Amino acid sequence: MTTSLQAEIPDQLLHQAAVLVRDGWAANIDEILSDALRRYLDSHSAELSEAFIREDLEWGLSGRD
Amino acid sequence: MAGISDLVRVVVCDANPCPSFTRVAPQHPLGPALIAVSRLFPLHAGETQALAVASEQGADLLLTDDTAARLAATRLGRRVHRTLVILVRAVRRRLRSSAEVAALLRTIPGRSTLHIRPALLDEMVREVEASG
Repeated sequence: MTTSLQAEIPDQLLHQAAVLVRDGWAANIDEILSDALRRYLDSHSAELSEAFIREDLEWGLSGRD
Repeated sequence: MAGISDLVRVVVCDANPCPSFTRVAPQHPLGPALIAVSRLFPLHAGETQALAVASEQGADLLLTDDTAARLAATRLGRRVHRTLVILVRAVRRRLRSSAEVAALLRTIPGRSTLHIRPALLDEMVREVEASG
């Protein structure tokens, strides 16, 4: 299942994405946008942020420096 | 952005740093490893520059609130924490009381752009209060 959305992105980004599609590195712009969003969500997950905050709290209270 | 304390060399990646911090930029072109990691995660220009400065200056600690930047820094072998850990550390270093820091932590949702799940922030406050 997919959803259509409207977004504004810098012209330069769109141009770079179009070049990738033109040169055969991606099937289309939709695929690039989905992959970019997936990568962002993978590296900004709530679980990860929470784990880092707990790690920081432990270091702040009990770490050595 | 970077701030260097007397005790430890700390680079802070923050769009609105404390006025007393020293603003610096990388002195050399980015290395291939940093370029690759910054594209992999992916990082903004400021985060990539903070990583470069941390490397150039042999920083003991990098402070960033961006999760991807933290992952990248860890991949590069850099010690990294969130900026608010400095408040918590101040309790351990006896620079601020636990009550003072707990009160500051409670103001985060209203005074900063840091986003922390309310229940987790409450937990942090309780742990800081219990440490004092």
